[in-house]
Amino acid sequence: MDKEDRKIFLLMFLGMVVVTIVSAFVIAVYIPGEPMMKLKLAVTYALLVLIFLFGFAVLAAIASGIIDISKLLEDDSTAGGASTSRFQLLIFTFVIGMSFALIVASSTKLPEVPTNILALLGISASTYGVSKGIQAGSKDNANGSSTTQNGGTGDANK
Amino acid sequence: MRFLTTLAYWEGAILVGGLFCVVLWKLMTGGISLNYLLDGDVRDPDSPTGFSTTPSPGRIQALAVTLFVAGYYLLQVMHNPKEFPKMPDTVLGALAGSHALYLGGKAQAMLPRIRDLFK
Repeated sequence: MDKEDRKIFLLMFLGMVVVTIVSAFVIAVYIPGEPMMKLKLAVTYALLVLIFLFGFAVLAAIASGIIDISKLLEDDSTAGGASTSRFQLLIFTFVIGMSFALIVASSTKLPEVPTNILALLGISASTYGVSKGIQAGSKDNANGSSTTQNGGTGDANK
Repeated sequence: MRFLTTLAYWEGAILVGGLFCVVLWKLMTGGISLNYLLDGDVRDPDSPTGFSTTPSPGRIQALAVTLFVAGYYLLQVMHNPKEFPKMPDTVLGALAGSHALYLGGKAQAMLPRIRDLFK
């Protein structure tokens, strides 16, 4: 991110805070009711507006490439390509995240999460973790064998 | 208060759906690379890096089972979007077995001590 991008982000951040404060002020002044109720509504609306603006700014940055997610699925394997363990974790995270949003929207309350859904996410995340462990272990072994081959100096390029 | 609930609903839908759409769009247009998704590393003494890549059956079956379970889960949610669906233990077992197979194959191919057990 260069200096120009930082400036744009700072202006966007200030704009978001201003919009949030203005929306809270409008609700606090113009909505009729008891002061405590008005305060609750103003804070709730302000938080909703702020979260939406922050989320939208992050989404816009990802879509425009300012936040680079091109290596989201890549690991440090030889080929440097996509990793199956990362891909399956992405799929399950999205599927369960979207389901959660859909269920909350349909029932308008926070649902109970069954243990088998947690097990599903656990299997998925454990697969990713173990895969990273294997990858790291194989790199250590490869470095160790190259060290031995080079007389224990630790420099494979000698 | 009802307007607040509606606003929160649409906000969540736009942000979560938007993130999903952006990632999907990047996957479709090649912004997120899927190259070598089904290729695995194997130890290769002749290669300068010590490894070479080859298509991996373990990865293919893991991906197929993952897509099946994710699709099955989504269908269950669409049928009854009021609560989280109950996943049968057999489906969870199949997923765990598939991933164990993938990880076992990867460990066998990449870790020399485990590989020596099969010699």
